[in-house]
Order: sequence, then C-alpha cells, then structure tokens
Amino acid sequence: MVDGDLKITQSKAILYYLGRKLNLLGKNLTEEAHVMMLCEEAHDIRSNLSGIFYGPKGESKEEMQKYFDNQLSPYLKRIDNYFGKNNTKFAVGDHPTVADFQLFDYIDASFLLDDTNTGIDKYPNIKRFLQTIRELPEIKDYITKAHAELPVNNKSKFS
Amino acid sequence: MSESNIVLGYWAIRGLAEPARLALHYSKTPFTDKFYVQGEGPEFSREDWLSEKEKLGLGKSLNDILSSHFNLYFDLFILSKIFPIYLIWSMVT
Repeated sequence: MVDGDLKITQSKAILYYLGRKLNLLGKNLTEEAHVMMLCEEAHDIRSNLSGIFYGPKGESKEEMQKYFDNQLSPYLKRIDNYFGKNNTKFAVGDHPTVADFQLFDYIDASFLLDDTNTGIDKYPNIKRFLQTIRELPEIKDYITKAHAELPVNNKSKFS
Repeated sequence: MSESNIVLGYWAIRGLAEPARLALHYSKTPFTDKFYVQGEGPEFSREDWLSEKEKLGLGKSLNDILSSHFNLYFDLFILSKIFPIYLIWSMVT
C-alpha cells in the first residue's frame, strides 16, 4: 500500500494504519485492544484457510468439510460466544471498526469449506453478524457487486 | 478528511486485502485498487505482484537490487578469470 510518502506491506499493518486514519480502530484504548485481538483471531482463521486451499487437501470436498468441522469449528465457536457475550451491534461497540471487516471477510471465506451449507446455523451470532455487515448501507452495493465477483483465493496447482 | 492518494496493491482476489478494501469503501475513501495478475498454469507465476512488493516497505530498495546484481556479475567475472588459471595449474602440478 502506498499513501503519499508511506509505503508499507503486510495486510494487518495496512489494516491498522487505515483503522487509525479512517477512525475505525475503536473509540478508546480498550476498544482498540479488542479490535486488534479480533483482527488477529480472524487472521489465524485465514491462515488456516490458506493452508488448506493451497494444499493437496484443497482438491477434495470431503477433506475440506472435515477440516471445517474439526479445525475451524473451535474458532467459530469462540467468536460466536464472544458475540453472544458482548451483545454489541458491531464486533467492538456500536460502531464499525476494521475488526468487522476482517472478521466478515475471513469468516465468510471459511464457509467455503462447508459443503453442507448448513454449518452457519450452528453459529447464530455469527450469522447475525455477517448479515449486519452485508447490509451496511455504505458497502451493501460493493459487497453484492465487485466483492462478490472477486475470487477468494489465487489459483494453485491443486485448485 | 484530508485528500487521499491511497494505492492498494494486491492480487485480483479477496485474499488478505479484502478487509482493507471494505474499510476503504465503507469510509468512502477514494483509492486506487491496483490489481496484479497471476500467471497461467501450470506454474501460476506470482512474479507480477511479488516483484512490485519488493519495492515497498520491507522489500529491497532499488539500490539493493542493483548492487546484488553487480556483486553476482562481479563474482562471476572473477571466477571466470581464476578458474582457467586453476585448471592450468592443476595440470602442470
């Protein structure tokens, strides 16, 4: 990413920079700590996904389903509980933060592994959260158009 | 908000860049979404973006790239001079 004289790499560094710049990093230090915690958690999910999407198991629907059921479910359960316990409109507080976008995209991508398409029903708080983000008036159009057209992953010899 | 000249460079996929894109779209921040394209199979070359990434942040500066090439060619040049001498020496001893 380039912003004037600043040139940086690393997705999370970019996200936190934008969070600070665009006022999407929480309204105090405590919120900021939670934003970062959730962004890191979501990133861990995404790293798991890359491992399977780009590896030999990415060829097999059964392997992907097994991975979703066994490896990803603890992450999703944890996030679902977190949402349930905090019961805020967005991931952190009542205003969107970069954590919402990181969680939204990476959780949404994780359901690609779920061939049953019913996995989401086990996580009612996540389901509600994804819907809240999808319906944000500022990005509703983007999500249904350009975002929907972009592939989630690159091609690999296994995909 | 101050005027923005943000350029976000990444593969033409959601990958690891989509959360940042969503944040930019949400805040209506003008930015350039610079997409890089992967090569065709079977290699699926990643050079298009990775060579660009080398010029940013942690990547090598242009100076590093030039000097590493210089060192390589310099080393080859020296080797090309020394090796024949070694061969001759090994034959006569």
